[in-house]
Amino acid sequence: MSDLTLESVDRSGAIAETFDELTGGTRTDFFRKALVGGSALLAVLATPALAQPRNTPKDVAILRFDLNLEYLQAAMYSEAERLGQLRERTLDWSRVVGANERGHVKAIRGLLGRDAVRSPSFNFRGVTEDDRTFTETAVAFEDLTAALLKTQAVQVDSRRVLAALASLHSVEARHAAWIRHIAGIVPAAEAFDEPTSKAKVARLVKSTNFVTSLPRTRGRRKPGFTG
Amino acid sequence: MSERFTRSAAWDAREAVDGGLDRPPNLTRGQLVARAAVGVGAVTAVGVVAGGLPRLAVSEPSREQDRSILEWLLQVEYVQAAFYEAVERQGALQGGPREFAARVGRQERAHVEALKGALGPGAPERPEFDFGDATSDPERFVETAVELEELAVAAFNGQIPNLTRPRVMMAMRIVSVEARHVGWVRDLAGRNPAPQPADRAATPAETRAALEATGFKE
Repeated sequence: MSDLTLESVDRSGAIAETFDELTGGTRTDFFRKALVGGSALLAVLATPALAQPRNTPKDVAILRFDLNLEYLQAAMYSEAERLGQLRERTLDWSRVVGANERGHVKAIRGLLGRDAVRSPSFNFRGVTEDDRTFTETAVAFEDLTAALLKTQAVQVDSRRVLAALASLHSVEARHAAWIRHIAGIVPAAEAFDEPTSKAKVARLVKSTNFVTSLPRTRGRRKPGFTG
Repeated sequence: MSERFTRSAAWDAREAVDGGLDRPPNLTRGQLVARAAVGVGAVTAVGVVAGGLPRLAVSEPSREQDRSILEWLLQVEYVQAAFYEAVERQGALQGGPREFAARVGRQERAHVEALKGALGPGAPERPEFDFGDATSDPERFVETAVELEELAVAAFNGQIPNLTRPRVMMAMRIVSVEARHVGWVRDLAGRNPAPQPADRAATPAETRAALEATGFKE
């Protein structure tokens, strides 16, 4: 797979830089700049007719939960890449998918603006060095993230947020199929994928004990993984 | 209800073709066509897909708009279902591609049935297709499957924000499986299964142009 590493990582890097530039600007600024960004993600987020001045409290809560989930995945896959202990195909996966999840972090932070939360701290307890455990965990995370985004898609108030979640959702499903293929599991078992609840995802995350501390919260904001 | 749906179907169809260009496209028509033509050797056939769709987010979701969108997505599923059926009928593939075509074909047929069921009486009929050797030559099969599955994901993503809530869920449950197909078949092809952090959303005009460029419709 010669196109695995450079292309995807570079592209994500470009997106990261773009978002970094944008986070300082106003929302209007964000959309105007995003139009010339050239990536699908930016274009979706930038669709002017979908633009809203501010997220509703419900959308903020949904996006914050997703942001924490993306932080978790990005950190786990990036650590696996850094340690380099997995089999070659799994390592390819973690390299590409880690870059994508980092892109998702930036995207959701962009959607949240000042409502974005900081990353929790993680301890992956050796999972990022053990091919079998890593693969099983990754299958669970990717399947469940795709399932959760379905539930959220019908919950969000904003069509702009919906469009953005949809564009991330299908990428999570690609990730799921790919890691399943690597693991020798059928990548697409059913004709229709089921949704799942935030509570179920929160339980899975809790069961891993990967989250060691949540960032200090302000006011009555609830930590992201309590379901 | 949007003004668009008070106009004639013919006007809508024309608008759907023209409309893709006056918003910033996520992928230009030329790019889509060029990509779709890979491994297919395309000459255009007319009107793979009935038109009548709003551009992304021009109008608020409504049941009328749902119907128009589902008719469009049914056409996309028809192409895929017919493609894998032809593969199975010819029985020329082996190994990974054969297994892929068999399972994915069943799933595309299930998608067709779901969309027809949602539309009820008056759902569009399935057109006739000729896929040439894309259903028997292993390399061309994989290339074509990648393109058709990518087109489906982009077509669904482009319309999901325009649907009412119950149909959003239906479309999400389907596009998720289409995205799994893409990830699977790109891995079979030795191509990066997830080359971008976000998937593009295609307008109906973009997808229609790409499908027409394949020349699959008789």
